[in-house]
Amino acid sequence: MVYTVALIGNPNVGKSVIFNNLVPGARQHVGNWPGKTVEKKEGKCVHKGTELKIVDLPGTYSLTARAVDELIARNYIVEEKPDVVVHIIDASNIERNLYLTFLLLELEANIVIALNMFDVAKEKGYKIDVKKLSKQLGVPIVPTVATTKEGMKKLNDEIVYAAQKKGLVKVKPVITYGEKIEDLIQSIVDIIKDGMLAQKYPPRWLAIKLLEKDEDILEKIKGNRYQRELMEVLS
Amino acid sequence: MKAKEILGEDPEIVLADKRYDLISTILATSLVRGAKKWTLTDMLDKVFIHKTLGIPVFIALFWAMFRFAYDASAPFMEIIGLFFEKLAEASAGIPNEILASLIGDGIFGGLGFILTFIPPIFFLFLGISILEDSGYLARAAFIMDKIMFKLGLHGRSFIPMLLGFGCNVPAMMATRSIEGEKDRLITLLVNPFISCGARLPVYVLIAGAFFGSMAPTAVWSMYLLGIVVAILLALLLRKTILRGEPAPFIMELPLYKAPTFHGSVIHMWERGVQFLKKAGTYLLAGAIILWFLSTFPWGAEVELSYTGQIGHALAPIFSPLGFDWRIVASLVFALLAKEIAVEALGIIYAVEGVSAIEGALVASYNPVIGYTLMAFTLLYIPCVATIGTMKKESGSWKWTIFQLVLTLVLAYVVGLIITGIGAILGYA
Amino acid sequence: MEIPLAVLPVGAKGKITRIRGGRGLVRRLSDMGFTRDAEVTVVCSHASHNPGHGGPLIVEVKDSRIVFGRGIAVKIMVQEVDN
Repeated sequence: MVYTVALIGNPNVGKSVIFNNLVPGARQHVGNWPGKTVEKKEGKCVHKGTELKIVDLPGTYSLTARAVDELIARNYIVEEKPDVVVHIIDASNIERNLYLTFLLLELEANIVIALNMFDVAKEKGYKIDVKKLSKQLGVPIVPTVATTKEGMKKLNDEIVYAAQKKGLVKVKPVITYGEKIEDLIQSIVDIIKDGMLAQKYPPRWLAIKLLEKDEDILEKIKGNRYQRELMEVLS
Repeated sequence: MKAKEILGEDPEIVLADKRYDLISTILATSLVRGAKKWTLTDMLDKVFIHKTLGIPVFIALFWAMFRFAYDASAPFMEIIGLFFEKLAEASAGIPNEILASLIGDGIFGGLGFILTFIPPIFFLFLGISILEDSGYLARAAFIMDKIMFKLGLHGRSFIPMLLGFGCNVPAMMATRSIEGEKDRLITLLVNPFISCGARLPVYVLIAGAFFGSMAPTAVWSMYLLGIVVAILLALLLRKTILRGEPAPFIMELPLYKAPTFHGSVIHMWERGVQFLKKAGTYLLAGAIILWFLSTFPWGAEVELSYTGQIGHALAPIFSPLGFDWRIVASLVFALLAKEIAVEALGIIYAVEGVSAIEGALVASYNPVIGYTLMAFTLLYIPCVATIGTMKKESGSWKWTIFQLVLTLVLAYVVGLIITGIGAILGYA
Repeated sequence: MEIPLAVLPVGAKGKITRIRGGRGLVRRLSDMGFTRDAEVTVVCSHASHNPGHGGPLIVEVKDSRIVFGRGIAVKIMVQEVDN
């Protein structure tokens, strides 16, 4: 049984170092995302008897439909449905990095956070309560210093653990956006929930994208029978 | 029941704000920020981004990097050269004469010659990786952005342009970080005009032959010419076929950090291997084709070989520039990799060694033709590896062919201009 | 009083009130941390004599340093905050 693991994170967070830590050079394979000129890096490795296929997604700040990189990353997660998504965060820059975490939570990805560059955060004088953060976000967090391989073993363990328990426990959204927005989201979900799109993608995520007037999703609902009803709510 | 009315404004903005609100709330209980922040980075940035010091520091750093790349790679180039020489000699023993030639001259000889230029490229990658991993490269893009903007280019176009001085293949690969499609395309299209390392041996040979003590100046002028042409072309493209404002330049400046040797070497290795894989197949195929064209009809002299025939066939087109079949033939050879022109001239004149080739050149041509040839080498069709990379990075044959035609036409036109000026100065 | 980020002197802090720009720009900036009420500190600027013209700006927002052109800095409206 091979588990697929996607790596994602902002640029400059040490994602490629972590990729190299997980997959030895010889087993790395560089190609292109189909039909695009963006580079695709992947590789296989074995941890404690479990085989993992690691896919390095392009480094992005966000997951909008606006940039090729972001669309590739987002489509991979929502269509290929990897078993685990490892979100690599720069511990010395948590606030902005968490934005992407929220987007991943909306995508209902099976997340493990690698809180990388933990040494830099310490040097900056940061004190991070990892346990508390993990509880508030509802995802496991492993502090790492990828350049010295600190935390890599634990990260590997968490990845395998997360992959094994995927789908066994239904994850409830821990993050909610306040009454007004949640009501709107719910009303949109009600409109689309029986449609084809909602079978393929998480309905709540679709609703949020529609609220944001996401170009890619808007394109996908064209011609759908509920399009008119939707446009009334959205515009 | 409209969303915007309910929320008071664009839902997208509301959602983004909400997310950050929640993030703040969460971090309020799990993060305590220290007082010490960016001190080392601030100190370094005072110098690196200094209003007047910034650019000189930048030029110095990059000059140092190029020096390092070429000096450190020199012993490796020797070793590789020797290695392939031995292999070529050994293959002379192969019973089948044609096969011996294919393997000895074509593969080990031709390909081997090109592969000796791999070390400088790898070391260049290493230098760039170190600058990138340390965080400096982002500052460099910042410093150059204002100038880039005036040239109709993106601040991020700057790094590919710079890499082009080493090799256009990694330079074009580096355009991936440019977001705007048009910005990226313009950077790709003008990149080959940046004089890469492969052209240097050609300049050195020709300038050495014709210009004596002025040789270094002549060589420098090629670099300048390349930059000027690239800039003018970029401006032209921006005003005509690829119209529009450059995409907004917004970039994160990471903290400075000491690049780990291990990390940078991995970076270098990744890029280098990518380059080899991409360029490798084209180079091998090209070497074999070129070998075929120059060795057949079997036993014929260079002039009567297919390459010679092609040279003769195309010579009339290039006679306004003063190029005879020999030069044209060597330019055909140089399509594989521009540094091959040196060896090609040796083969065509049936002499060996730089000074012998220089002698042959001086005997056959005047300085104006020499300078025209230098400019032509700079500007004309990029080497096979670059063409392949252009196709890969642009994703389209249309633009790749456009670039081929563009470079050829520009080279010819500039060649004519130089010949014209030469004529005015009294050279026929 | 609302002023463009571009005129904030080096070392000054501002709280973002709004961003005057198309959706693309607003999204892009928001991804990088420039949202309403976010605090922005000007770290470095190659200011010339006319605000609105001149070189790029380096600002600090949410623990990171971001650099952008003055053309963008003019569109980010802030309220100056005392240190």
